Amino acid sequence: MRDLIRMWSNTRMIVLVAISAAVYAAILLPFKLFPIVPGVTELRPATAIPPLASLLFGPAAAWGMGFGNLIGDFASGLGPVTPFGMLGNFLLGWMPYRLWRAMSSEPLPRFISGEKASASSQGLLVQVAEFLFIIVVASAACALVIGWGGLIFEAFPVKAVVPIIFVNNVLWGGFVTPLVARAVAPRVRAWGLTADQILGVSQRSQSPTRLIGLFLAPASALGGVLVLYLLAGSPGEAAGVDLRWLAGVPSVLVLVGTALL
Amino acid sequence: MRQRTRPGVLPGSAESLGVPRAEIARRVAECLGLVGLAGFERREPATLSGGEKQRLAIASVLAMRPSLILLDEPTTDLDPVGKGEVHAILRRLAADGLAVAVIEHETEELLDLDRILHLDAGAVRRDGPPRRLLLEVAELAAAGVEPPVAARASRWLGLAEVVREERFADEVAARGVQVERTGVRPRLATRGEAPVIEVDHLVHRYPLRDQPAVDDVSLAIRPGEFVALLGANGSGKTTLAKHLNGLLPPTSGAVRVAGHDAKKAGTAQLARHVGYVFQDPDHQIFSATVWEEMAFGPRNLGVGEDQLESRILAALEVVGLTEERDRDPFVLTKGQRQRLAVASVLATAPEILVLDEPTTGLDYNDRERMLALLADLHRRGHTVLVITHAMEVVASHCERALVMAGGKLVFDGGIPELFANDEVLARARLRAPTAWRLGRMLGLETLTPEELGAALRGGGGGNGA
Amino acid sequence: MKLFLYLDRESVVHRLHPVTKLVALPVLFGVAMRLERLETLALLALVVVVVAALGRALDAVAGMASLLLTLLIATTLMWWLFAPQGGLLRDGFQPAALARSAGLGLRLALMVASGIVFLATTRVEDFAHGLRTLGLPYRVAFALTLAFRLVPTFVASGRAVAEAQRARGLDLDHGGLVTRMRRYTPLVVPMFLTSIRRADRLAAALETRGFGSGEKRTDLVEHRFGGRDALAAVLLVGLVAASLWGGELASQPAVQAALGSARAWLEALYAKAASRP
Repeated sequence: MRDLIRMWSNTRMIVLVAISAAVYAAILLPFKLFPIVPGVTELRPATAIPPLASLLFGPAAAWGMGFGNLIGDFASGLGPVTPFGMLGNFLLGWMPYRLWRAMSSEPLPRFISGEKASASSQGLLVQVAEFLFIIVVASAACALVIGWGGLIFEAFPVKAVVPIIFVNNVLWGGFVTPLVARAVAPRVRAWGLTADQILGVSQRSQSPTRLIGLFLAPASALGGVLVLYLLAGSPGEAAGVDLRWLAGVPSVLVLVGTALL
Repeated sequence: MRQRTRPGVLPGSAESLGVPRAEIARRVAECLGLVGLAGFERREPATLSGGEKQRLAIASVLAMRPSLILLDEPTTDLDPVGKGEVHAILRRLAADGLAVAVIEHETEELLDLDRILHLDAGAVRRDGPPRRLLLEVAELAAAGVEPPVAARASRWLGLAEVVREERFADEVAARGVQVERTGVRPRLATRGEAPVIEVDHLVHRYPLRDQPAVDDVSLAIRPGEFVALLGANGSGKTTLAKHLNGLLPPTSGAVRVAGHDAKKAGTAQLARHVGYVFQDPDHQIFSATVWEEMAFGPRNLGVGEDQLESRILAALEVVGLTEERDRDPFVLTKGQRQRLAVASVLATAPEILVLDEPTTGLDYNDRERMLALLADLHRRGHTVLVITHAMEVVASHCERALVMAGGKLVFDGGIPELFANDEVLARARLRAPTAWRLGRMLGLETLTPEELGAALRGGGGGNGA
Repeated sequence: MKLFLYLDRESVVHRLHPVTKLVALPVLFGVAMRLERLETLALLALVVVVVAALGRALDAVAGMASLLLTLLIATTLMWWLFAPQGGLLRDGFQPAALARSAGLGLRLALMVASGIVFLATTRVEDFAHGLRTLGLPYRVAFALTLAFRLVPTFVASGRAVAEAQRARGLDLDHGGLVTRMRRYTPLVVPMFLTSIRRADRLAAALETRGFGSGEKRTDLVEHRFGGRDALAAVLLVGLVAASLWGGELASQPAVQAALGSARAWLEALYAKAASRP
């Protein structure tokens, strides 16, 4: 949590916030012509950016993705869900970095960095599984928060839109992000522009609450989105269960869990 | 001042230093006035032209009232007249008592500075007034710096310092040098073959703009021609070129390339015939090795793996990058990356090559290498169309010039005809190269420094270099 | 190319203090959320149109008409078809459900429309200034403004990358989903790298221009709260009050009677106008 605040005293991190936000927005914008209307699943390649930026720039990516999404909304119109879109994308840019650093002593998965295995590192297959797990969790958190906003403002039928967001994030993040990251990561490291290099951290998260976070963040993200999907638009909602709480509580727990990592 | 690529947010600097508000507003107006942008306060930086952006960057630094300003290659991307404007402003600032330091490897604009420091391998090699220091032509060339043409001419005349252009004819006369007159050059003859590129009443309008970017342009290019496409920043030359491989569809009119209607064929199909090399090689490089980067185009066009290897090897050979085949493209030098971009296009074996500013940002040696490469490709039978601001390149390599101004084709003809046409040059913000301008004072039509030298020496003057 | 919605014009709405507008927007969203009936939402939509007209931003809203219409129609259809209560698929055709769905669609469209008016009348610098007045730290506001400023450059470089790869035969329009997704790699990689590569130069440029010098900053742009801000605040409070108690007020017998006679008068007027040849 502290790194989210501390990074603002570093000019290069501030610049990375602006640049990653602008790159994200610049790839989002051409596809903004087609608003997310349920049923219209356009290819949204920008979705590959948040996990990539997250692994490289850590806290700067969190702010950057939130701002990038806001800029995207500036071109297509601010709506009541805009703050939730910002928060969802903030999580998509924050969680992969935090989760990865809680699980591994290597700065990046080896299938991305191309580095050789060290004695203390996990096997390659374990890393692939962990990476996909991270993408699924962060995608769920993003879909959960945006779905929550949709519920509050009755902006869209949650049942249809939440799976679209989730699947889009998982597909691009799980498949295209590694392809792009393999080409990009070695160069960004060579320029000394990763968060670890700028902030001078090099090891696995030492947080005493790491294990709690490792349970809480994924459990509330996955559990929350699942409950949201199952109950939205079903007789359960009609039976008087207020879904706004069922989505809001896990959204907050995701934030707390990620901060504990 | 190193924010060359950054859209300048002018007040940023003085605001950061805690200068009072009224004072900032006054300074902003004053600094914009100094660089000739008075009244531009509310313009979005992104809407400025290249030269205006550069002047804005200068103004934003001036707003801090520095006693020294430092510029890193401030005119690289600008058209010839834009370059002159930036240098004129710098001279005026210096005359007002500000210290101005410019980092530059192009020497043509440096003759009127007060002093030059020549750095080599991290040390100051020489230090002196430009007109004396730049006269040491051989030494400059050995250090990879291109000497100004006026310096070479001055050497041929045996002068003690680089001649002022307006005094050139007098100096030649004063030294009694006999100029060998070769007479008027032959004019460009029209060839008979069927054109490989035909543009017919082409109009292109961008959405939301009143003026068409390309306005009723017709032209034909025949196989094996080496053509320069010239014009100021924003004159429509790049827009025109992008029709040649279908990147842009005509608003009206037609473009035929190698027998295909460009609009119908589409970019992927035309990639077999037209290789387009973009200005910035970093906009296309994405692979982990040179080899993979080279394979991208041919694979897209369905070239089989059996043919792939020979194609890539041949293309790497042509650009001189065979040794680098397994290296990471991002560790190559700028000149090498530029040649890689050319090679990756050559690997698709196109008969036509379009190059957008292929020498911009390259130093002397890399530039010479790129030009030799283009000449070589032309000799091998490629039709070459090059978009450039570098008039020396046009003079030494091209056979024909197309000049755009305000979206219209204002000139189509031979190079000497263009340089002799002051009206077209002014309209398109172009300047004939120094060799031509000096030669013209002697009644010659010399395109290159070599021709100028030959004329002077042939007449019995000069002592070489 | 015009990426953002801002229109550089002179108007009352342009001259409002950015904080006024920043507060007004969520308040308007809140008011819209309070309303459920199609008629009252239509009344609120009228308010948005009036504000847009005052801000000389009607053309900006009209320019986004396709987006707004899509939102309106798609949201209405979605709710009408799939609503848990009274949805067409579950409970068959019910006029009340259709009206409610149309209300939801209109509500969303008018919220987005008011966002458009905000964007058309507020420069990025003023937006950031407003956020700073509301307590956002300078560095955060700066990063946001810088990001906005970089976007057109990055969009241009994205276009250059796409052109360079298309010129080498890249085809994004054909093939299966996985193939098409993979083909975005040659687009995303150069765009990301050329952008990130600027970071060092940009950080150096900021520091040479005194960023982080520790001096207290002066802002060039100055905004003062003025009479028009006070007026806007009063109108806003009125709007909130109307949304809170308007329904109750309207059900009072006296108001009902007044409304009834107004309606009768209007109808008479209409009948008179219609009977004229």
